Parts: sequence; structure tokens; C-alpha cells
Amino acid sequence: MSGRLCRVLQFHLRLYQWLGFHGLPLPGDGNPCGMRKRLMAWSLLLLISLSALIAACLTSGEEFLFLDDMFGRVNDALKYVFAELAILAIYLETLSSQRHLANFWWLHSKLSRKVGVVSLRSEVQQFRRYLLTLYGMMLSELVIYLGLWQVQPLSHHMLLFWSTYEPLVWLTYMRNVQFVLHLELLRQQLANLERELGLLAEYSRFASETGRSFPNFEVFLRRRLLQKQRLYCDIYDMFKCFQSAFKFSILAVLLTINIRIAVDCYFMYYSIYKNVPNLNSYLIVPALLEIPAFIYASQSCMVILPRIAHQLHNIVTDSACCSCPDLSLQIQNFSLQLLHQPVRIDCLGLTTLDCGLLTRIACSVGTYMIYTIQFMPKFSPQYI
Amino acid sequence: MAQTEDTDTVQPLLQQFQQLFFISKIAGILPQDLEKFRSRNLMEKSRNGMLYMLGTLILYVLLYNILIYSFGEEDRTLKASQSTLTFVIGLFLTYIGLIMMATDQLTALRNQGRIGEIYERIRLVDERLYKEKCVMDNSTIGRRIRIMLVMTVIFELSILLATYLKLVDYSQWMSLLWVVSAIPTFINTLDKIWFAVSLYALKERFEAINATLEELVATHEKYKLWLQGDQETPPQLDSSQPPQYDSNLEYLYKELGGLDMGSIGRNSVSGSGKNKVAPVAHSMNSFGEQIDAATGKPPPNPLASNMVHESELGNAAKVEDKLNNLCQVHDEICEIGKAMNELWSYPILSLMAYGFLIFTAQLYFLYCATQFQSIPSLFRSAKNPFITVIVLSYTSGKCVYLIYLSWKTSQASKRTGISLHKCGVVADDNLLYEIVNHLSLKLLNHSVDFSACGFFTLDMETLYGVSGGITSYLIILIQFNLAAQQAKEAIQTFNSLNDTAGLVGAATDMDNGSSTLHDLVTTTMLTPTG
Repeated sequence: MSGRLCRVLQFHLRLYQWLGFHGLPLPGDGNPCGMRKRLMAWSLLLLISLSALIAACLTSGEEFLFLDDMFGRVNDALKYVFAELAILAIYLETLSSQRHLANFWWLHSKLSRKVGVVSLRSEVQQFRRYLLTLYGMMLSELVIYLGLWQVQPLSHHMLLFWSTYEPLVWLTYMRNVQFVLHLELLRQQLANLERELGLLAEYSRFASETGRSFPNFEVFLRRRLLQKQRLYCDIYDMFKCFQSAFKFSILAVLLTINIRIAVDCYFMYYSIYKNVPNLNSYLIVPALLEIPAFIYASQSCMVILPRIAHQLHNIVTDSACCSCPDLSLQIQNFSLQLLHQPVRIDCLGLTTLDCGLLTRIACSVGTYMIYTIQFMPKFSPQYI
Repeated sequence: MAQTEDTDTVQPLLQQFQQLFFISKIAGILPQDLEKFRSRNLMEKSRNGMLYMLGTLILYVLLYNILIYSFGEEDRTLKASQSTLTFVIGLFLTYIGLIMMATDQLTALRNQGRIGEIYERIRLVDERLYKEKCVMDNSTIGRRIRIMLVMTVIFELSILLATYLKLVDYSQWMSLLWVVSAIPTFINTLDKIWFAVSLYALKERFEAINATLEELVATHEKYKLWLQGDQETPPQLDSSQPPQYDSNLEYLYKELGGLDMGSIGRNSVSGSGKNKVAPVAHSMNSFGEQIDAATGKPPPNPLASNMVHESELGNAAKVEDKLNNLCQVHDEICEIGKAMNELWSYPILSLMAYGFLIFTAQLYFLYCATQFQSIPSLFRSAKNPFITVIVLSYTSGKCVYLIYLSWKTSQASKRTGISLHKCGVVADDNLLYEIVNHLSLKLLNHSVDFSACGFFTLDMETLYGVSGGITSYLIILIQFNLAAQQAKEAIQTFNSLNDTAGLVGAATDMDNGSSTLHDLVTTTMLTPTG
């Protein structure tokens, strides 16, 4: 085992380094300074080459865009433009927000330093949500692709379009899964805190019910609580780091996936309407899964906070054995601290990333679908 | 005034506003007395200023109306060819710039006595902060004002000149009136610079309070570190771990300019040479990692690391005053923020309404222009995509910046609670906990949120809503335009078919014609169900 990161993390961070998303050297890398420079250069190179690719696709005379009608063409161009936006946001953020990312990992290593050597199995168990998201996405996308190309022959346009657009989409998906990884780490810390507070609450309840405890029990409780308070402070800082390290790319990735869903839904309807056999639209299924995966991860982070407050107030203070005004003062302080430091994951303050967003996205996609469907016949040549 | 003896200690904020005040005075945005402002940085009522301002207002309104009249002649001739929708929108939006300008000026007239008070209160706050050893540096504000002024002039001039040269027929001398079209936006922007810069000053004060609190925490941690180092008590717990990761982390410290935990959420205002790694000799060599875990922070000031033997947080009774004072100042800044928001509530509301309507309209007219339809002459900048981009970025820049700044200020005010709790946790003293709990509740009840007349709060969520609204309205408008356009074409086709039918006189053709019309009308008016 190299350094303190467990193998699953090490492997995936290495993967993100190769994609140019993680601009920091991993623990155990020799010559970290040079490594960082190389990683930055690599990100920059990827950014430039991908932007060049998109520019070439948008301007070339080849059939990268859907040429048959104007509206389809605009839609394809829109997809490219938003993919470019996402790529730009992702790589620029990787290059610029390294400090926050380093802070995040530093806090993470600080908070989870007590873990000794663990088996791979338990690591996988620990990161099962993240692994499920990542490999589930990849697998479903692959299956759909293979299935689709068994059924439908590839046209020239489709080959060109998908071979250039798909890598971009895949990159945004990977970024999305990277968010999920960070959120999962955050969630684990919060869940740990909740569990430990729950234990404290149970101790105190046991002590007050049975009247049996050791001397200085309340002082012990208070010290533990103080330690938890400091822990929470660090977790909150970690959350802040996450937010400032990824704020723009969260927005860009969500927007891109959203646009893609809206555009593809439109095309699906369009092809049904014009009786064109087009199964391409099934490719949005992974996109449909991406946003909920991310939102679920962030929601599951945020729902722990009320649980923490609940467990905190479960700690029994007024009993025969520990009637300690200090303890209740400490609880009050922690509770107020929780009120001041709510974990509210949002992108740039624009909107909270909870399940409500899912409803709003569904609504907006539905609304825009209706608008665009209304457009449709006026563009189709049979009427004009 | 009591201000004369304080000038050597606290610089009044208004000192930085000299140029802005002068320009505003000339343009007729503020009625206050120029001489008093120059000599004593005071904003006082002035009857002459009021009359001058009313004069400018009337002049602007007159000029703008002449502009509308003289350029509106094209519109009247074009009315037949324009779609009704475009015409109505143009008519509706013609006066919105003027309304916005009039709101700004009339509000400034109404507020002329009260604006001075605000800056006086800010000065008092500065003095109180100075007593708590946190000095506000106003020079950034002066720089900010200059940058904003330059940006305004660049935007206005580029829009004006580009439109004038490209899209206005400048052979007639009346075309010079086009200059007037820039007046409302220019005046509005100047007025908003006042608000934005004052808001920014408030934000800086919040951040200064936060920085002071964080400084307390940092000093105390250093103090504890020193105590620990002196006693040499703590045993090494996890020496079994390999040291690679830590060496790596130390490297990251150096490379990324310090991982000072205190400065994560805020822009380090004080920035007093903090973020340097300076391994303290007696603590880092033997068990550096352990101390790292305990404090989570490198010693902030390398020089002081061996000398500081005391911390304010160590003495709860002593620090109580300081915390109380800081919270009162915080409270006062919140109150100032609310008062300021109230003063500018109508201008902000009108600006937001203007921003939303103009943004939508400009994009809609851009669409119309690409379809070779005629658009109202006042919105002729929409004929050129590049000018449209400049106009849009100017308008949206104003609105978004105000919203963003309000949001940031509100965030900074909320961060004070977090910093306060850090103080409590790091000192771990019962008396201090009581103080912190009390003040924390107080802070929770005193948050500052900016809103436009209470219609909506100025935060990023509003921005999200507004951008959604603009998209929807744009699509709806374009769709109506399409429908109207096609209905017009259909009628023309029908007329021509009627003519041919009348010439030929065949009843069957008539049938065809009406069925074509029916077909066209259904396709444009009704939505297909697939």
C-alpha cells in the first residue's frame, strides 16, 4: 500500500489524472512538483485538442451536423457548443482550483487517518455506491451502443457525429462521476460523525437509565462532543472546498446533460413524427441516469445533517448521574454551530442540488419539449 | 463635526467617491452640494442641486421624446409591414429606459438627506472597527470605482458609436439626436455604481470582522501549540504510518501557497503574510504530524511563532468585550445594509424589470432582424449581432453583478457566525461558550438579505429563475412571430389564388384555394398531435 489512500481511491484518482481532471500528484508519487506541472500541461493539451476538434466539427463541410433540415442542424450545433462549454469549464477549473482540491484531499487524509490496512473487499464495500455509479454507467452505455448497432446500420453522418460527440459526452459523464466520488467521501465523513454521535447518545441514555457510569463521565462526554465539534468544522471546510473546487463544472456538466436530454427528446419525437426509423434516441438513457446519480449523491449528503442534529439532542443531560450544565452548554453550542454551518450543496448558489431539482429539471424539459414540438411542423418542408 | 479629529485615524469612505460624485453631479444624478462634498466629504441637501437635477430630468425627458418622435417616423411607415406583435412590443418598451432613468433620479431626490447618513454610519463603523484593531483599507474601493467608470464609458461609447456608424443614417443632422438614446442607460449605470460600491464596502467590513475572528482563533491555536511544545506531553500515537503522504502534503503547502484552513471560505482580506509554511522549530521536528492533526493549521506568522505567549481567547472575560463589540458592529453593518437596500429598492426593481424586458426584447428583435422583418427603430442595435452581444453583456452585466454582489455580501455576513463558533471551539472555555451561544443566536436573527422592494431577493436563485423565464418567453415570442408570419403569407396566397380564380372563373380552383387556406390555417393555428 502506498501512502494513505486506499487502493480503490488510488486507482480512480489515477484514472482522473489520465483524463486530466485531477491536477494533483497522488501520495507516493516521486517528484510531486514535476508531476503537478506535467498534469497541468496534460490538462491544457487535452483542452486545446478537444476544443480544436469541436471547432473543426462545427466548421467543416463534412456531415458532422445533421444537414437535412435547419432545425436538426441547429440542434446538433447546440449540442457541440454546450459540450465545448462543459469541456472548457472542466479543464479550466482543473487548472485553476487546485488549491481547493488540495485542501479537500488534505482534510480527507486528516479526517480518515486512523484507518489501518484494510482488505480490498472492504474497500469495495466502502465505495460501493460510487463504484456502482461509475461502472453501471459505463456498462449501460456500452450495452446500449452494442445493441443499437446490431439493429441499426450506421450512416455516414451518424458515424461522424457520434465518433466526435461521444467522447465529449463521456468526459462530462466521467466528471459527473468524479463529483459523485467526492460527495461520497463527504457523505462517509458525515455518516461517521452521525454514527459516533449516536453512540454518545446511547452511552448517555444507558448511563442515565441504569445510573451506572464511571467518574467524570460527563467530562468525558463533553470532551468527546468538543472533538466532534472540531470534526464537524473540518467536514464543513471539506464541503466548502468541494464546492469551490467544482462549482463551475457542476453547473456546466448539469447544463450540458440537460441540453442533451432536451435535444434528444426532441429528436425522438421528431423521428416518430416523420416516421424515420431512428433508434439513436435510446442513447439518452445513460444521460437520464447521470443527473439522478449525482443528485442522489448530494441529497444523501444533505439529509445526514438533520440526523446529526437529532442525535446530538438525543444526548441525555439531565439525569442523576450526569446533570452537567457544561454538557448542555456544549450541546447548545454544537447545535448553534450546525445552524450556522448548513451543508447545502448548490452550484454557485443558483439552485440547491436536491431531489427538488430533479422535479424542476423534469418540468423544464417537459416545457421546452412542448415549445419545440410546437415549432416542428412549421419547419417541416411539407407545409412551408 | 466630530470628524475632523478622526481624519488621521479613519479615512471616510466618501473620500474615494470624489470623481464619481463629480460626474454624477454634472449628469444630474445627485442633488447634494458639490462644494461641501469636496471640502469635507459630506453629502448635504442643496436647493440649487435639486433645481439643477429637476432641470436635467425635464431636459432628458424632452430630448428623449424628440428622439422617439423623429426616429418614430420610420416606424409609422413600416407599421404595415411589421408584425403586430413586434410593433406592440416596441411601443411598450420604448419608454422603459426613460422610466428607469426617472425612477433613479426621483429616488435620488427623495433620498438626498438620507444617503449622507448612511456614509456617516459607515464611518462610525470604521471607527469602531479601528478600536478593535482592524483597519479598513478604502483604496481598493477607489480603484473599483475607476474601473467601473471606465467600463461604463467603454460600453456606452462602443454601443453608441457602433450603432451610429453602422445603423443610423447620418447624412441628416437630426441623426445626432441618436446620442440621446444612451442617456438613460448611462445615468442608470452611474447610479448603480454608487449602490454597488457601497455594497462592496459593506462586504469588505463583514470580511474584516470575519478576519479578525479568524485571527483570534489562529493566535489561540498558536498559543496552545506553544503550551504543548513547552510541556512536551503528548505521546506519539500513529507513528506507524509511512511518512510519504505527509511529505507530499508539506510539498503541497509550499506549492499552493499555504493551506490555511481559515481562509478557505473567504477571500483573505487581511492577507497579512499569513499563508506561509514555517515549520516551528520546537513543534514540527519531533512530532510535526501530531500537531498538524491537532490544529489543522500551520502557524500563521512565522516571526511570532516563538514569541507569542498569550492569546486573547485564553482570557474569556477580556475577550467578551471584543466579541460583543464585533457582533454589535456586525449588527450595525446589517442595519446599514438594510437601510441602503431600502433607499435603492425602487431603482433596483426598475433595473431588474428593465434588464429582463430588454434582454428578452433584444434577442427577439435579433431574431426578427435575421428573418428580414422590420423592427422598431429605437432597437436598431438588434440588427447587428455584434452590437447585440455588447448590449446584452452590458445590460446583463449590470444586473448580474448587483445580484452577485448582494449574494456575496449576504454570504459574508453569514460567515461571521461560523468564525465565532470557531473561536468558541478552539478556546473551550465555559464562560466563552455562554458568550458565543448568546452572540450566535443574535447573529442568526440578524441576517441581511437584499431584495428588490420585497418582490424577490437578490440572490443567485433569482438569477436561475430569471434565465429560465427569459428562455421561455423568447421561445413563446418567436413562436407567435412564426405563426403571425405564416398567417400573413397564407392570406397573401389566398388573395393571389382568389385573383387567379376570379380570372379563370373555375369553381374547382376555388375549392382548391380554400382547402389550401384551411390547411395553412390549421397548421399555423393548431398544434399537431403527431
